[in-house]
Amino acid sequence: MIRMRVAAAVLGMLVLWCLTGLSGARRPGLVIYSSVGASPAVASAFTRETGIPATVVVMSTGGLLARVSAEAHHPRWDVLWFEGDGGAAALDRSGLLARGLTPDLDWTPVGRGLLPADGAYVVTSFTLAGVFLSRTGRGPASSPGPSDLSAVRVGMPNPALSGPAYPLLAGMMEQGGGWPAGQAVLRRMGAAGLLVAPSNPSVLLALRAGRIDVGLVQSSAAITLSRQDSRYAVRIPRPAIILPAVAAVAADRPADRRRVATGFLRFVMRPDIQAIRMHQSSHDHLFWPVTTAPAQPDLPDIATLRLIHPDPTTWGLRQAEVTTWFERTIVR
Amino acid sequence: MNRAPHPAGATRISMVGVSMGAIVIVLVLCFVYPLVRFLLLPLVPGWAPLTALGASQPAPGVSWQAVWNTVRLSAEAGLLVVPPGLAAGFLLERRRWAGNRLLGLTLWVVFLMPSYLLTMGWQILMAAPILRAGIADRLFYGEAGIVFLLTVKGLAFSAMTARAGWSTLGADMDAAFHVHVPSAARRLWLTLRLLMPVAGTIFMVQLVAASQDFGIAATLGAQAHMPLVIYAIYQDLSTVPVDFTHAAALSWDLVLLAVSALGVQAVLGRRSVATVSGRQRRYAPRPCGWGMRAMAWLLTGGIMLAGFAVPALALLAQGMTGEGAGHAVPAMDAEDWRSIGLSLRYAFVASVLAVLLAAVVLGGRLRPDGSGRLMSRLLVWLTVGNMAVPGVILGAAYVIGFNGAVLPLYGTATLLIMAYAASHLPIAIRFLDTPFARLHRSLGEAARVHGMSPLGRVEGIYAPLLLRALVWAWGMVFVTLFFELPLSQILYPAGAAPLGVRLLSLDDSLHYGAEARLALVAMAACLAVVGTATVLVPRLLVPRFLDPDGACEHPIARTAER
Repeated sequence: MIRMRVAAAVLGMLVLWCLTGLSGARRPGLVIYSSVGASPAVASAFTRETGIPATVVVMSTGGLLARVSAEAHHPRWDVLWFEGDGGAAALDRSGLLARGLTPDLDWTPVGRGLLPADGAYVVTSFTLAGVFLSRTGRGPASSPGPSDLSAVRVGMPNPALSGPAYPLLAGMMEQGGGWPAGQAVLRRMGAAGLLVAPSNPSVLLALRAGRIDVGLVQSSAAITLSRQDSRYAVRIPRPAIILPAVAAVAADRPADRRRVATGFLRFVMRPDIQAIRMHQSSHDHLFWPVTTAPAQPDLPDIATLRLIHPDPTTWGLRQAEVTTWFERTIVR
Repeated sequence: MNRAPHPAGATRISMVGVSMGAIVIVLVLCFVYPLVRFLLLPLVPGWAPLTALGASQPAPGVSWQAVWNTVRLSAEAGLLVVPPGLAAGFLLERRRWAGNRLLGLTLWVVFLMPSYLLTMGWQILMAAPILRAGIADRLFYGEAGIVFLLTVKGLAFSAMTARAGWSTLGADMDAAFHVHVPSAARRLWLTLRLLMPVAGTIFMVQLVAASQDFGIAATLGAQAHMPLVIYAIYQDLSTVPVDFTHAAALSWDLVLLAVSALGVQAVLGRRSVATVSGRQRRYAPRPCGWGMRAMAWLLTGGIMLAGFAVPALALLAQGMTGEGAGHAVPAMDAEDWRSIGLSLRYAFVASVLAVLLAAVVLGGRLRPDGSGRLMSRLLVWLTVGNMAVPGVILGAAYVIGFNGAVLPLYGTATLLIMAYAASHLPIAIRFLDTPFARLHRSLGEAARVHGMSPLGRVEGIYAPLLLRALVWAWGMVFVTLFFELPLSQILYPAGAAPLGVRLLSLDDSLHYGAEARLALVAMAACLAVVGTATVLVPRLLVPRFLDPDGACEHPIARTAER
């Protein structure tokens, strides 16, 4: 009997110990859901400077948007930081984002053009949604458009699974005449054996394995690989599709938390913090800034590129329709 | 027999009522409320936390392609699993040969092997340069590969069911066949006809299990671009555009498929009972001839290779040598260790809760006055009925049910543990059903007559007698929860991803090396915890006068027997 009681007590204590550990004894402070690789470094700098603890939860963009929409009006997050303004526009339309956040900064012309009218999110930088990555000499001619791709085996990430892939798809559609006329471009690529992989790394793996000739991937990932391995070359399409990184604040959090979160957004946009981002070792440092300072020394001058930006409101509204069509017609 | 009124009768009855009421509330909260709320979403879309993010129009209707794929592939796996299942059941029940125990052990290992790890192992093998882009690769990343893995995963259950079927045929029937049916072929035909209801049960249960298997759908199904309902539901919940209402509509397909199949299985089960009496003499296993022995070893070796050895060795080889995506990563990073630590704690707490709750539900039968039997039976039916609901649907139901102003638990560890415990309660009940049924109520009667308090009866009689079964049930639930995937994917607290989520994320990004290392370390950790508990706990706590099978030499038991 005594042994049984001792065992029950030990079991109870073990369960309690586990629960205490899982419930998180430490104070989470500012909660940041992010798919931007530099966010932990920026959050650490924020905590060092302000003394406010910050917890960064890193997820894929798709997973982040899904979790935010599941939490809906009972959010556990204060700040979102991810890539793709279409998703931000959709969250804004659902009333999840605090408005009027746009800070008064020295924006570049491109940066100013990316800001939403209602200030529901701040654009923190941008990359290109899809550039061509191929083995040297095997890729398409310089600066091709989507219609030049029917002769080669192309791979791209799946917009249903990879967050940054939807802006790429939207941009390709827009270049092909909008929705639904742009379907023809994708149908041609599909007929030529388009490989749709779950993510950017999967496309890179298919390229390395020789299953495709050209990978259509985010600029930061492509440029990083081409710099690590000289057998691969990057070509930037003309026009290239802008993929903005955006940060937003939860509308349904208490006012004091929203104030701190807004302060974090201003902190992110400070030139010295942008410089910290540019010195990250991963491919996350390969972005174009949207403010005049600091300049990005490691990427082609933005003035030499021809850029397009699919309207996030229009294409964000169509995301379900376009993605479902792509899944059923092109991926299969 | 006239029963003497209990001195504290009113208090005892109210205690019984309160405890059963508490269990009912827990079960309603865990199953009925969230499932009803989720499954009614197509009728009441306003209950969704956010209607169709990223959609300008109502979500497209049910994907008939996914439904057709699910039914077709599950049916194929159901058909394919019957012959090896019947053969394995035959060997276990009717033949005496050296590999009998090995076959039983292999089936248990395959049963406990998470389907996504099974798939990952085979994927690693197929990524080998010699197989890549060949016929095997094309077959594997298509219908054949998915059906093959679903069949392998279903072998354990089909063999157990078939064994029970062979057992019910009994020695009398066999003797009667030998006397009245001279032709061996005719005898075989008659035996197979008698086994038809068992084969039907295997087919139906495998149909349900295959249609609900998330691990294979989320790995091989996703990469082979083969839409399956279970993964389509998950995609509706976890990728943009998020659409809970569409997920609920799809969930109806799986629930209806499961309910129909289990209904047919119940009818077949009744017919089986009607055909063959359960009171027959048990068949004494005979030695195998050389031909049958060779086939038996072939079957055992095949199951072991396909269900455990090949995937485990592939994981081991990949873990020691390479990295799929071409980047070098540390052997195990902090996130990997953290995911193992988190899963150990999630699984430990949830498995303890599931087993305790199962014990309380089943314990209703042990009351000396028999007052809890009806309620206990109802609760058992309720929880076992929940087996028709796969983890993905339960997870989705929890998102809908526990994300409001009243119970805002979504995104917390509490909800994940609750979902883990609820989803594995039926398994714990099934496992503990027989050990509890073997305890005679007169044990409690005798103890009560001798003045033992209810707590004393639990401590002194039931707990020691049931401890081995409880620890084994805990171990089985712990192993499956430690590697659990669908609920974890949907409900894990942000920043605290359990092992299954971490493994799948490495698989998605094709980091097979890191994934293999993590899987192997996790298997070792899980084995260490379960092994320690199942060996140490009974040794420390079960009194020496109880034999290893729990046969009773307890003084109270002797009193009861007298």
